Amino acid sequence: MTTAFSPRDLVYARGREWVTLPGPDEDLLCLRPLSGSEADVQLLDPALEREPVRHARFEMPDLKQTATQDAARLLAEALRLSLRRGAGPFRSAARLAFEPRAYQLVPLLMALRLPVVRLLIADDVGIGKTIEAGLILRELIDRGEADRFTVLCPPHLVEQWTGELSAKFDLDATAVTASSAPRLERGLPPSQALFDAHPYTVVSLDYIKADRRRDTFARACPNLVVVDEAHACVGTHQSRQQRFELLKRLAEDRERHLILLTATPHSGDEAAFDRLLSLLDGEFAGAALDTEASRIRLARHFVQRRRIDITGRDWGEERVFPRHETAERAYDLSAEHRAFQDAVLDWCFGVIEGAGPDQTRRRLAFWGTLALMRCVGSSPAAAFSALRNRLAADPDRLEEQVFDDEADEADALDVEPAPGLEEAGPLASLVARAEGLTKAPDPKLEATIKMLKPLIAGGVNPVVFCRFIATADHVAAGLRNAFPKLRIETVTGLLIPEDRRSRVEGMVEAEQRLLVATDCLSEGVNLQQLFDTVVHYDLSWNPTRHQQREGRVDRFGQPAELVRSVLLFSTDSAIDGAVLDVILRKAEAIRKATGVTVPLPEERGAVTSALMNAVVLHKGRARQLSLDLGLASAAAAMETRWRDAEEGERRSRARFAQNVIGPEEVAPEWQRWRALLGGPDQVRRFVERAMSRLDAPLEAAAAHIARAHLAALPSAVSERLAARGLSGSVRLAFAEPAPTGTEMISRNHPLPATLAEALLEGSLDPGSSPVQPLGRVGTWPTRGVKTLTTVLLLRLRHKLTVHARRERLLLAEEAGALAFEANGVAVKLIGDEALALLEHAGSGDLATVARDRLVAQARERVATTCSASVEAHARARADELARDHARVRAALPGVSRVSVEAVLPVDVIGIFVLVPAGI
Amino acid sequence: LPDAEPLTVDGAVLPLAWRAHLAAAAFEPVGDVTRAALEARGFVVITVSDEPGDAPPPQLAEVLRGAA
Repeated sequence: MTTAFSPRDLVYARGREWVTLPGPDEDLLCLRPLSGSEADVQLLDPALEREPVRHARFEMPDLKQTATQDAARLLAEALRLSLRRGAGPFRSAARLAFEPRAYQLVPLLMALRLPVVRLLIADDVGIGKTIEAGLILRELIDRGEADRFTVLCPPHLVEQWTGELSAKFDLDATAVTASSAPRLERGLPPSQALFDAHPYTVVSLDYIKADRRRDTFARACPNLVVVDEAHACVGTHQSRQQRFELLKRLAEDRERHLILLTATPHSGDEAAFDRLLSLLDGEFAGAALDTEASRIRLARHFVQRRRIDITGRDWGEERVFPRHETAERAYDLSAEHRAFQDAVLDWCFGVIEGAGPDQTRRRLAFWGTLALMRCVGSSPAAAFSALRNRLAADPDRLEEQVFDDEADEADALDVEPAPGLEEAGPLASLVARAEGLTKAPDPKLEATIKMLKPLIAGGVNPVVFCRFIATADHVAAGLRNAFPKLRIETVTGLLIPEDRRSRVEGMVEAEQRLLVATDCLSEGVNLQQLFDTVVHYDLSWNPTRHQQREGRVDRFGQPAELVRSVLLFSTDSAIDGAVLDVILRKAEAIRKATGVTVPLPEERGAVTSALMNAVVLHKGRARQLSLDLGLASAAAAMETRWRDAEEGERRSRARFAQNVIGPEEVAPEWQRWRALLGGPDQVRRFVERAMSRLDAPLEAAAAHIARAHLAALPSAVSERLAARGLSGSVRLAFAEPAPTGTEMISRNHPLPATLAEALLEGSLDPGSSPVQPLGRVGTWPTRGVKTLTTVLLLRLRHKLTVHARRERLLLAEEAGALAFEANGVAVKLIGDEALALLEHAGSGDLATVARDRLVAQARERVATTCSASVEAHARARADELARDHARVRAALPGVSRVSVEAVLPVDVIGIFVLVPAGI
Repeated sequence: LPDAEPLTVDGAVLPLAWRAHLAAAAFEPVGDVTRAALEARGFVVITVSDEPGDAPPPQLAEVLRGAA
């Protein structure tokens, strides 16, 4: 160790900051990069360095760097916005590009109270599970408790996850899918595994489909794992069984953090729920939750909240979610369509009767009938396609398609199914009739246009969800004719996921827009920024699918105050009537009673029989047929299933929804978070002032909306912004929810972040400043003080030592401010109160000689009389930080403990002397 | 030139004041309380002779540097 530096000093060398460690040779410096690991330690000879190694601190301000009052205020704000290594209770706060809601901090607080994070987040659709999981990932990474992570999710959610992690959490994760993995692996040396080369990954479930990959993944899997749509990994179906085996293997490592996300943890399937809980801890498996004590233990790992829990009295977040209006629109079939549907049904019954008593053949015939009737009810185009498509059907796949099960695999879910019914003579005539109807007026489409006309005139932006590609194309064509001025796009499974997203995003500039989509878009791609109305053109047979479709627009971040959903059905249609009676109305009744949308009961045999019974009995068809097919008891059996689901849901919530962290515990942490980083008003004030300073003033557009002309900024700044994806004229929103076509400006948005960096860097290093540098010293008269007051802007830094199995040294930094009395000894005000003095209007001017004298005297005081108070303040902040950490990372056995030490001397960034005016 | 108005602080009157320069001068010694009150407002307080001289006292010249 050289004499200039001691162990644990912070030094600056080779363009970055390091912490010094005891080294083998006193002429060499042993350095570890800040937040780096032991593997990154380097030995360095200061004599050989091109740039001298120095303490990582800033020099006192130069007296020549004078600032006006405006410049002083800008410097104070730039300092606060630039300090990205967060102090306060959460280390990650400064890294986020958005301001989370208080209720979204609950899972994070729960996670920090667990020695190893094992959490099941089962909040309802649209509450923000991705955000809640992202907060935990970011915090554990920033605390040094994890250095790698994986998000495991269905293929269609991979891009959504990588996008959100990057945009919101500043985490650049690599997408690992069946198609991207070979490319990623090709670039690696033989000794390096994919998951070592890419520490942050989002892994598609299709990637782990193959046994070999599953095994590789299990061996290389990071110690921090998020499983999205976790219910899709705990079922008993073969593919789900394999996923469960994999998760079980991952969970066996008791040091591994595991965060499970699902909106439907229970769904009446006790066995699947049991498997889910067993991943949290083996003690929760089986009947182990019969005791109160075990349920209280589980409550530490399980959070489940409905929308009403958030908007209700406790959290009072009424405006976070839009008001949701639902409506049903019935339409009549024309005689021609009715006759066609009856003819298809008659033909299906013939096939069923022809299937004889063999249960397998009969089951296939039932599914074939239901599948075909869905297409017929969807549109003549879908019926024509399905009738013509005479491929042999895969019974398992057919069942999934009939019941709108979630597509975990990459293959399309909106292709018209091959009904798999025996070919027969009359089929040809049905095909011909269907083809004829594709050219005739379509009463369903006409009813949709009629329903949409007043809504479109009122300015809404609808998404029309169809079940099949053929229907979507047909509907889009009809709507384009009806609404020629509207921007209308179609998104179906024919597009690859990237193209689906870009087609949606391409509509942002349109004044008003309408999207026709199949259910390939009902999960994953969030549509709330562009759309506010959902039309269920086709009924989905899975109630959770309806919830997912509506959840695309009815969610956190929707700018409209009102969202609508409209469900279309035909009173004449046998299949619509059956689905409404047997499934949707029942699910709605349960939702009203419990607040939860329960999925379709897993026992599909009962559902099929009940649906068939309803179809058979439709419009007085032969009751004898129902009896012959053994369907008579189906309706009663189905009733029992629904009752079980409702009871299961009630029981589950009553048993497990307890000991939840409430607003009273979250609110203080939330307030600290905001106070430390600055809320939306401060960000707005800074952006306005900074843009004016840089000759590119904002142009007011509406309340909380302004237009920024980025090209008018100095080229060095506009180039930096362009590199971060911002150029030209941009509409900025300063309050949530951000309207469509605007950028929500939060603390970490590239605009304030870049402006703050440029201004602060320019001030600290005026020689290489890309902009007119802000001064660091100044004085002005003001009526805001009665005696001479010196305001110091400080950069406070704290060394955090995490005492865990592996000790880590981290750095926290924050902006601070102190206001001193004239004598330079007594501290008058601290923090925001000190900064508020800079906001009092200046009054008159001072002669240069007086200004020079006052700032020179002030700098002298800072170096002498003030320094003890400054250091005492730094120590007090360090103590407070230690208390913050101890409070949120509760001291449990095995939980890491944090000690905090102030870095001294404190960096004084600005010195401003306020002189009482009007004497 | 000094300001037209003398400086009054806590009842004491200093006949010569240059407010923009935060400077004040009196022909009599200024009491400790008054001096402290003025210094707490950033002023430099100087006692000058009431006999006119060829040049202002050096301390006053220093705080008025640049004044017309």
